[in-house]
Order: sequence, then C-alpha cells, then structure tokens
Amino acid sequence: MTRSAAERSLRNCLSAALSGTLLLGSLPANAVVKQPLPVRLDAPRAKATLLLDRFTFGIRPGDIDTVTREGVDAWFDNQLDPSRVDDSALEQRLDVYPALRMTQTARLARYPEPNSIRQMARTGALPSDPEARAIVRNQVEFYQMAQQNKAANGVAARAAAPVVRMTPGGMQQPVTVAPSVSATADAAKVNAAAAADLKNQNLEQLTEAMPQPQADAIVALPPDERYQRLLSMTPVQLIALRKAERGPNEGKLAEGMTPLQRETLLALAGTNRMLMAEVIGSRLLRDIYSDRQIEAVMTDFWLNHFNIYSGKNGQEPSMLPDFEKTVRQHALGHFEDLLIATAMSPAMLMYLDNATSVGPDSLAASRAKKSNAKKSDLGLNENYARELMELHTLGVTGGYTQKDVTEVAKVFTGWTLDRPNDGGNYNFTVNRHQPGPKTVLGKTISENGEKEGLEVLHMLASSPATAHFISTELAQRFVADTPPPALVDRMVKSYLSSNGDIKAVLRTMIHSPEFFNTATVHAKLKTPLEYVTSAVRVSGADVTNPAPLAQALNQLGMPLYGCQPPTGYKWDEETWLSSSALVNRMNFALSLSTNRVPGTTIDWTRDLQTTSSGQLKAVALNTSVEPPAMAPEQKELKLESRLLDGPASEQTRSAVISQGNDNTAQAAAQQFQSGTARPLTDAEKTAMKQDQIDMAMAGRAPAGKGQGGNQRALGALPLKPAPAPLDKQAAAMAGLLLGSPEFQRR
Amino acid sequence: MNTRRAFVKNGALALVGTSAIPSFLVRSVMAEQTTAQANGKKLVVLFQRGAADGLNIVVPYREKNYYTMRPSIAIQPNEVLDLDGQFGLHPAMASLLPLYRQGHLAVVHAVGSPDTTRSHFDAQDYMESGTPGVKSTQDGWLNRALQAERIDPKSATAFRAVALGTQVPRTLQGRLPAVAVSNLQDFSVGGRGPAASPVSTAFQAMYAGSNDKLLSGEGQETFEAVKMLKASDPAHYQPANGVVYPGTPFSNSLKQIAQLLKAHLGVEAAFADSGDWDTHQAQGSTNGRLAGRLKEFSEAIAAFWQDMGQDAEHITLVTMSEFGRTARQNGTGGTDHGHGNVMFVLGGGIKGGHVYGKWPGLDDAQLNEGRDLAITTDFRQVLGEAAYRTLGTRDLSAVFPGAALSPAQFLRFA
Repeated sequence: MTRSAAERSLRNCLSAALSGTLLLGSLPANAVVKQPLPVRLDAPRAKATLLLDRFTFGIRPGDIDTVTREGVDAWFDNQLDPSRVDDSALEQRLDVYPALRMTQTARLARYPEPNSIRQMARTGALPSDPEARAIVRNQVEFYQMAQQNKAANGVAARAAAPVVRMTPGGMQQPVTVAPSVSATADAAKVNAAAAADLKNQNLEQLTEAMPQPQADAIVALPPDERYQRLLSMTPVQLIALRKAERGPNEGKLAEGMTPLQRETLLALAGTNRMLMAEVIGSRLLRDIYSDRQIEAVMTDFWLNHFNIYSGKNGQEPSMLPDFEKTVRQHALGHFEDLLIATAMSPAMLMYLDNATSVGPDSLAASRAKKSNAKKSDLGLNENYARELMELHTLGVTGGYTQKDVTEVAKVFTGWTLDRPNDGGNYNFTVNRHQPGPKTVLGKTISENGEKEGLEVLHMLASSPATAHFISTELAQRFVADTPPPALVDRMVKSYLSSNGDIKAVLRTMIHSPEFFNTATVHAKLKTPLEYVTSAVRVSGADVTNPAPLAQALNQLGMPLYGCQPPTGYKWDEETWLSSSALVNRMNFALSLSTNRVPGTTIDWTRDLQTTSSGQLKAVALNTSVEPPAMAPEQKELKLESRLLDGPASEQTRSAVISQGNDNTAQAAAQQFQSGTARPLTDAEKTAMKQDQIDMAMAGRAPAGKGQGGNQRALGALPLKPAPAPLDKQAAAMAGLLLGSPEFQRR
Repeated sequence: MNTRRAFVKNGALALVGTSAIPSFLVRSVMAEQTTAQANGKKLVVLFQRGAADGLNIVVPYREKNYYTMRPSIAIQPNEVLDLDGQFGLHPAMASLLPLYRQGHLAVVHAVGSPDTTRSHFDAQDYMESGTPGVKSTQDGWLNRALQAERIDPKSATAFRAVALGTQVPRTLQGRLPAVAVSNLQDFSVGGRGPAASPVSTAFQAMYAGSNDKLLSGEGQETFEAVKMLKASDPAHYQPANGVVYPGTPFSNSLKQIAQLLKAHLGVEAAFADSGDWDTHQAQGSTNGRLAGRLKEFSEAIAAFWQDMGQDAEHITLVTMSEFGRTARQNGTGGTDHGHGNVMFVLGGGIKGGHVYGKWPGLDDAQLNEGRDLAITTDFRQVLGEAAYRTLGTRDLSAVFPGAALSPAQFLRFA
C-alpha cells in the first residue's frame, strides 16, 4: 500500500473509532475533536493581525506593526471613513485606464458597444470624431468580414479577391494621416479561404507578415505619428504589422504612447474587450494596492451581493465602471441608499431584465397591442423582483410569496433606461408603469409612479428579515461559515437601531466578544480572490499588468464579474476546497514566487537582506547579484514571518527547509523557473496571450460576434516576463509557503 | 452549510448508517455482483443550471394551450423532431434524435421537485442534496448513493467520484472523497511529466502532516489523484471515430469524462455542469438563445456517446435542471421561473425511445398554481432508479431519505 493510501485508511479507521466513541459515550462533539477552549484575544498584535486578516485583501509587510502602533480601533475608524485615507498612489496606478474615468455617455460615444457597432456597419453612419471613427471602422470591418464569411459559408472556392473590403463609402477615407504604407501594403493577402476560416479564428495564421523594413519604419516613427499611422490601418494590416514585429519588438509598437492612445489601440480589436480588461484590471489593482482596504473589501462584498455578470447583454462592460463606482460610494453607508442605487443602476436594470419589463395594462403595452395584436412581447418580467427579495434583501426564507414577486415586478415597471438598446441612463418611464395599487407583503402600495418602487425598497431595507440576512452574510464573510448566532443577533439589533447603517453593523461586529476570539481564528478558507490578492500583497509584489492575475482567477473558478447566476459566489469552504483548487493554488504559488506570472515581480532578496529594524545588512551592500549566504533554516524563518500570519506547522517548516537543503529539488526549482524543465502548461500559454485573456474577461458577448476576436491586442499594457529571481532558493521556499495549508486560511 | 467541516469533525455520525457493517460482511455481500464496480457501470450526471425551459425542449405539440400561452416562442408542430406523436424535440437537438430512435435515449416529462420554491439556489440545493424542503442535509445524493454501494472500500480509487470543474458540486459532497478536475492536462503540481516534481513531493508531505484536518484530507486525496493521472495519462485518449466535440466548456467536460473513463481509473460517478439556461428574456423559438444552448448541449452529449463507442453500453447518463419555466411566455419574450420540467436518461441499459411519466396536460386548470407545468414524477424516482440499476444502490432510503422509494414504483426505463 502506498503511503498516502495507508494514511487515508488510517483516517477512515480513526473516523470509525470516533464513531464508536460517539455512540457509546455520547460525548459532545467538542470533546471528540481536540480543540482548546475559545479565548478572547487581547494582545494588541494578535488583534491587529486578526483584524487585518479579515478586513484587508492580505497583510503587507509592515502592516501589523502599523496597526499595532495605531491601535485596532483607531485603524478601523479611520478605514471606515475612506476620505481620511490618502489613496493617491493607487490612483496613479489607475492612470493607465482612462476609459474608467469618463462618464458613461462619453465612454459609449468613444467606445460604442457591439449593438451600436453592428448598427453602424449596416447604416454606414460612423462617428465624426476621428479617433472614435477609427475604433468603429476597425470593428465594422471585422463585422463585415464575418458577414461575408457567413455568406461564403461552405463555398470553398470563392473568387480569390481580397476579403478585406470596406464597403460603405465613407470608411475608405484615411482617418487623419494619409496611409502611404497601407496603399501599397498588400501584406494583407487573405483569400476567400481565410474568410471561410474566420469562424475558426485563423486570420492570424492566414495573414502574412508585413515586409520587415516597412514594419520597422512604422516602429521607428515618433509615438504620436506612429499612433496616427496605426489608427489608419486596416485590421489585417495591423495583424501583418504585428506579425513582422513579433517578439521583443512587439511592445515597441505602443511605446511612448499616452494611456488614452494605448487604450484606443486596444479598442480597435473590440471595445468591450478593452473595457472589461480595464474594469477587471482596475478592480484587482485596487484590491491589491488601495490603502482604503475596508472600503475595497466591502465593495467586493457588495459587488458579490449585488452580482452582475459581464457577458449577458454586451452592454455590461460599458456600464460596470459606473456600477462599481456607485457600489463603492455606498459600500460603507446606509443599506437602503445602496439598494436604491443598485436598483437604479443601468447594469442591474439590464442584468436582471427590469429595463425591459412593462406593465401589462400600461399605456405602452396597450399601444403595442393595438399596433400588433398578435404579439404580446410587452409585459412583466419578474426576474429582478424575485432576486431583489431573495438575494438582495429578505433572503429566501424572508416570508414572501410568488404573488409578492409578481406584485413587486409590477411596482418596478417603468424603471428602465432612457435608451434601453443603447446603454442609456436610468429613467422612470411612466407609460410603461403598471397602473393601480399593488399589494406587497400584505401592505397596499397606492398608485404613485416611481415612488412605489422607493416605498418597496424602503420596506425591504428596513425589514428585520433583511437585517438578519445581511448580518449573517457579513458574519459569514468576515468571521466563519457558520457564525456564532449571538454575534449575528447583536449585528441585527445594530442594523435595525441604526436604520441599516453598515458602519454601525461592522463596529458592532468587531466589538462583539466573538470577534477577537481564538474560536474563529483561521476559520475561513480564502476564496480564490482572497488567495491571489493576499499572495501578491504579502510578497510585496509589484504588479504592472494585472491581466495574468485575472487569468489565474478564471482558472481558480472565480472570474471577476464572471458569475453568471445572480446568486454571486459563495464564500464557504465547501465551495472552494477541492482537489482542483489545491492543484491550481499550489501551481499559482510556485509561478508567482518565481516571477513566472508575467506582469508581476517579486524581489525576495530585498527582504532577506533586511534586518528586523529595517536596516540593510552590511553584507547586502557589497554584493551585487549573489544573495548573501544564509542557512535555509534562517531563510525559512524570515519568509515564514513575512508570509504567514502565524507560525507554520512543523511539517510545513521541515518541508520548506528540506526543499532548501535538497540540491536536486533546488535544481529542479531553478529549471522550473527558467521554464526549461517542462513545457508550459496550457494555462500558462494562455496567460501570455493578452488577447485571449481579454476575450475571456470580456465574456462571450463580444468575441463571437465578428468583433475581431482573433486580433492580438495592440496597445495592451506591456507584459514582459519578470526577471528570474535573484535568490532562487528563497523563491522556491516562498512558493511552498504560499501553497501551504496555513496560507489557505484567514 | 459547513458540510465538509462537519464531516471531518462529526464524520462519526454520518458513518453509522453504512460503515458500521463489519468489513467481512461487506465482502460476503460482494458476491451479489450488483455494484457498479463489479459490473463496470458508470453513472454520469449533468446539471443544467438556471432552470432549462422543458416545454421548449421536449415540446407537447398537441397541446393547443401551449401555442396560446407562447405566441412568439412556441415551436410549431411542423418544426419539432417528433418523438411519439405527442411530443417532439426542439429542432436544435437533432443530434440526439438518432439516440432516441435507436432506443438509447429516454425522456421523462413533467418531472421535478415536490418543493415549490422558485429560487434557483434553493431548488438546486434541494435537487443536489436529494432532500427537497430539508436544508439541514449535509451531503449530496450521489455521494450517498456511492456510500450505499456495497464494495470493498480498499478497492475504491481516488477517481471513484469525479466532478469536472473547479469545485465539487453539492451533488457529490459528503463523506466519500470526490475529486474535482478542471483540466486533466494541468492536474499536476510543479510541472508535468511522469514523475512527481520535488516541489510536489514537498507539498505532499506538508499537507499529509498538517493538523488542519480538512486541508490535510483534501491534500491527500489530491495527491493520490495526481499520482493516478500521471500513471495513466488519460489526456492522451483522443476522441474516437472522428468524433468532434463542440469547443465549449461543457463539451470539454464531457470529453474529459470520456478520457477518464477510457483510462479505467475506477470512475463510477462523474458530474458536469452546463450553464446559462435562465432565459428570462428573448429566448427565441427555433432559433435564438435557447436554441443555441440546446444545440451545444445535445451535440456535446451525442459526441460523448459516440466517443465512448462500445463502452457506452455500461454508461447511464442523466440530465437534470432545478425547475421548469412558466408555461406562458413573459412580457419580454422569455419565461420566468416555473415548476415541472424534463429529464433525459441515456445509456446502454436504458429502454429508450419512449417518453416516460404521466402527462398532466397544459390547460389553464391543469397548470401548477395556474402558471407552470405540473409535476407527476418526483425527480428522485428517476435518480433512484438510475442509481439502483447502475451503481447497485439498494438502500434507497439512505440515498433519498423521506422519499419512500421502492423499485416497484420505478418508471422502468432501465
């Protein structure tokens, strides 16, 4: 029998033995599992650690010292008022995402969503702004190629004419600069076979590289001129150019350009892909780097509570930036304000279909019936009404009936967008509103237009069922999957007496005896998001491109804005603990610690050469490349204290140290880092292809619809691999610690 | 919640039912040779998350009210793929029609959960736990079904219960270890290759010795599974007979289940998810959103069936979804949450080519709460029969407590 099998059957035997104990002695379960009695944590450092573990996306080097010094209450109070915390360093990092700072209207004008682009393709009416025009033109061409492909479907031998034609007259005109290259650039030799293969996304392979001198000449242009030139090129020409410049030069195509120019180039291959890359990238950077950690954690909490899936309608990508902003704004305010803000948000109105719900007896419905008696496509949609009560407020046991769902759906008819098919803003449209009184949860709501909805939201937000539902969810997120009932009760009281003040509820939580208590220390298994962000934060990593981290989350089963059902992700260990999860987490830990996650760099030597007082050791100053010799045991201790929030187990420690001692193991680890020991896994290959990342992140909507899913992303943030770690031994040891059982918990 | 944790702590309680039987007795019972393990049978369970619209999947095309209630989304009688003169498949499911005609594919209509909830979450939870209306159930029905199988525990492999994806679904959670694999090729720590890498060995030691019982247990199961996969390399089994799987995640799951089965890793129960069935809006009729989902769903299953070739004989595949959708289309060209639904059962030992279940009718007065297809068959009857015939699960009261199932009530599709 193998060792692990032996251990497993041993485990089974133990369970059986325990069962006997239970049956015979009927001891309480607590007595069977050897566990120390719960004790309140009083030591300031222990409290600081616990608080940071629960209310941040991971403990950075130095955080515990800071909070211990400040005092947990002071830190918490400060964090509850984010305006008091300077976050300019993060804002600077977010400068790379200009689209997120535009208003929704401006964003949509510059980066139209797929429906509008298809419409423009049909009508030929392109935006007048030259840059917006270029963005659209590029995607229109892809759309038309796809249409041609549809037409050519099955016909193998079509005329060998180039597929890339720009049919509507206006589009053939160069945008700004006369494209002297493109006039002669027949590098784009794509024939009908290519068109037929478009569906298979083979355009990339079928396009020949542009002649090198021609391509190099473009690279050599000053940034502004280069930018204009790139904008004027056709999609196929861009592929040809990129093919010629593949390799180390590829990044130079967008070098020196402003963030706006970069994202504009990125948008050429699909506006939604660009937007989702920014939405997800900024969310990750914020979680990792914001000094307003409680705000970030609570924003994440509410974004999951009010889940939105990015790929439902093709409009979410342009709506999510404002949705996230709204949620963040109210994340620490009153629940009712947050509820109203989400109810009125275009993203939610689209995601849960309320934007299309119409009162069956409304003016709009009766008009539609008159004009087209056969069709009854205007009426109620109860999706939002149900999830509002089940998931946003009362909870499924909150005491509502199917009748209530239908009535609430009637209440919210008319809550829609001013331009529902074009990503507009919230608008109450009275002629879609169901007339007459409604009865919700036994209460009559008199006819009152938009105010009916506000009345219902108030009713729901102030219901004890909601107080209980929200408090439980908070306690599950921050304390334990099955939180102590006494804790939840206290929070419910606080919720009700403060009119749903989220700050008050959180304060009550941390001041409850169950909070700083050994009974719930490490009770939570980290979710993939918590795992990835905490690994990055404890390592003090520098993230210049978060896309591969987003890809890691996809692999771990928790893509941001990628949860399709309205329930959002669960936060319990049942969900996140699996063999697949463990394998993926260990591999992520190894990749991250050895600088094999492109776009993220960790310097382990910096820490190891630093004494506890922060002074550089003399030995470090006179070495340039070689790290100072340090015994593996010593290294392990340093890394352990930096990476784990408590002491490692003996097993973990010895496994890490023996890895450090074992020459073969270390050699293997080194090869692993340099990538020669084995072929890249599929996951890693994917992680290197920016366009695929973008596609995955943009959901299914844009990719399959002729938006140029096969064009590699030009203008993406640089994704050059980080340098191999200076101290390979330390990197391998750190990888083991980040993949250890201890690091899976918080 | 907190199920698995509870198992580690209080696993004792869960054990009482089955493992209290001394092993020598278990071994003597083995002589019956009724188990999946003994017969080489496998049960594949597919869950359509989001509540698939059964009335547009297996269309009751003789029902006048069906057309009245679904003016713009109904499938016309001349568009359905006729099954038996009363029901017809959605035209996007053409790839499954031959399996029905050959007698491998059975349909159960007007089937579902006796619980009235229209919450996705609750309804899925009840179906997966196998105990409608009871929230405190800790484990999933399929885990219990495997527990109730009388086999020598030593012969069970790490792959006896496997879920494709990043998570172990509720259906397979419980005392019996279940492995989750999202990608066979990447299911390895610290690099591929036939031997375990040194880091992998280090991790293994770390988890094996951890005091964190939960992570330690999961870690051991994981490394055992990794080792088995390294030894057999199932990913090298390529689809047979020129079979082409659609390139979707669900289809990829089925392809990998086929690879695991072909590698003879001891799989007895496999599970995969299919998403995006919640068609509240613009679901379309013969074309459109639902049609697209059905095409992919059917083609993946048909590819799996063809891929398994002769071995398909030993497989039983069951599909389920948490509830059906409203009989009437809603105001936005879609359907809202309903009640009764349709299940498919496919397999070598299945008496297919038949629509099982009592049809309740679609007249206004026959609808559940005046709005949904009524339920005449409890989903547990279908799953119970599949488990009984395929896994040899005899103690159905352990699998579906409170359902009072007995073989006498089976639909006899198997």
